[in-house]
Amino acid sequence: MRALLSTGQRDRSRLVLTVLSGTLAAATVAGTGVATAAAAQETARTNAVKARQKAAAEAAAARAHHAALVKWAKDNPVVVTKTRPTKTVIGKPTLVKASSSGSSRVGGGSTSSSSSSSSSSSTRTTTSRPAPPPPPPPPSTGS
Amino acid sequence: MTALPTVSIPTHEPSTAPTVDVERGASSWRALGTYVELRTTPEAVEAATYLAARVLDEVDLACSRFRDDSELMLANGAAGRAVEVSPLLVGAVRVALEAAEETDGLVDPLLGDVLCAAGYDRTFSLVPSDDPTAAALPVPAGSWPQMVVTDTTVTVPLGAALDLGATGKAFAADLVALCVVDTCDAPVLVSVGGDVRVAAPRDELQDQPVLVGHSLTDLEAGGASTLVRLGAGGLATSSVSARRWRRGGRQWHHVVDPRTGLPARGPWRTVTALGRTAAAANAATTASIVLGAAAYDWLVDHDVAARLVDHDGHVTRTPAWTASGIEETP
Repeated sequence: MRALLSTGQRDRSRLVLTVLSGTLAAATVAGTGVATAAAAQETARTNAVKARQKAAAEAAAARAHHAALVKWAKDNPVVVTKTRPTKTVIGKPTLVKASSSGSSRVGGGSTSSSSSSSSSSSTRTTTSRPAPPPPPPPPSTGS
Repeated sequence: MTALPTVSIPTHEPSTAPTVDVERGASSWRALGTYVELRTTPEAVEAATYLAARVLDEVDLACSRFRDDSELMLANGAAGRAVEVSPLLVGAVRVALEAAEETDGLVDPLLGDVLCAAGYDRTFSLVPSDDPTAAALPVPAGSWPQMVVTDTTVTVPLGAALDLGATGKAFAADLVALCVVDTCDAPVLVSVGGDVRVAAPRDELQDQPVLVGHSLTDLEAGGASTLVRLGAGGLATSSVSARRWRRGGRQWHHVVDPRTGLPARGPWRTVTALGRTAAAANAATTASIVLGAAAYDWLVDHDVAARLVDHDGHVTRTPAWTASGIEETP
């Protein structure tokens, strides 16, 4: 019986079939890839829009919360207590005397009570040792 | 990551330990950013100095514009709202407001923002002597009548800052003197940056010598000085020679004219005055520097004993000063 195809024809047909099936397979893979990429891009775009909307909503909520906090703080001032040393040096009567009405009233003041001058140290007379020289007069200058 | 080291910029000058001369009843130290001199009896000098140093530390904590933890800064930080403060700051503010009222606002306690803007925002020894940066100066609002003081609170008006630089040291001198008399039962003279108060129990007081000059630096350099003998009461000296600096090309000193918001300009370099208290004397001298040429008539009208030295060194004395007889003739 005579074969339908010669050996050469059979080999060529097999080659053509292999090339065709390979091309089809490659085209299928490429098509699938393109379709997948397009879908992923669309999904990413959608997700980005959603994320932007969510962030904007959260920012608006945070701003509103901050404004509410500021308003609350204004309406409810908080007293911050600082620890300070106990003040016991200056007695109240002395303080009242120093700041009583008239303490800043200009005019009046010292007049020379005697022509003889003496320093505070001259009041010490209980020793037979000569009194030390008086201390230098304290200054009164602009400062 | 390596943490950056914390850098703290000092704004406040701590007080120094007093030097006490027991034999002569004298002591000296630095507090409130200036010099302090105390004279009393040899027997009382140690106790009086210890007490005075503590009083001045307490004044510093209440009234300083250069430390964040002071009550004054607390009140400034809460401008427009009442702040609970100690009786000490209440007293200091009352004295400052009375000085403002007595001088029709020439001695204004609300010039803190002007001084800060001009660069005097830290203790004077730390202020740059010549800062070329331009200063944006606020216009003084003259709002001192709006200050509210109760027995326990102080309210600084909005847009203003309290500064007790004018009357604070004088008030401190008055306080120290009264504390020493009450506690140590001894006569005392105290000078806090030139604001002097003399006091004694039962009027047992002899006149105390005080050297009047333009500034401590000028005195130490042999500048002009006058010796006065002070009985009970206060004496103060204000001078444009002290606390001077340049900011933005302008020469500043610490006496600000509240009518202009600029350093006071006038013929007087230094004014010394007497008063019943150091605070009263200081109110007169500060007002005189601000008033300038009109100061003499103002002092005479208010019967203030004062000695005014102009920029050329000429001395003018009010009749009350001449009558007081406190100035030693050379």
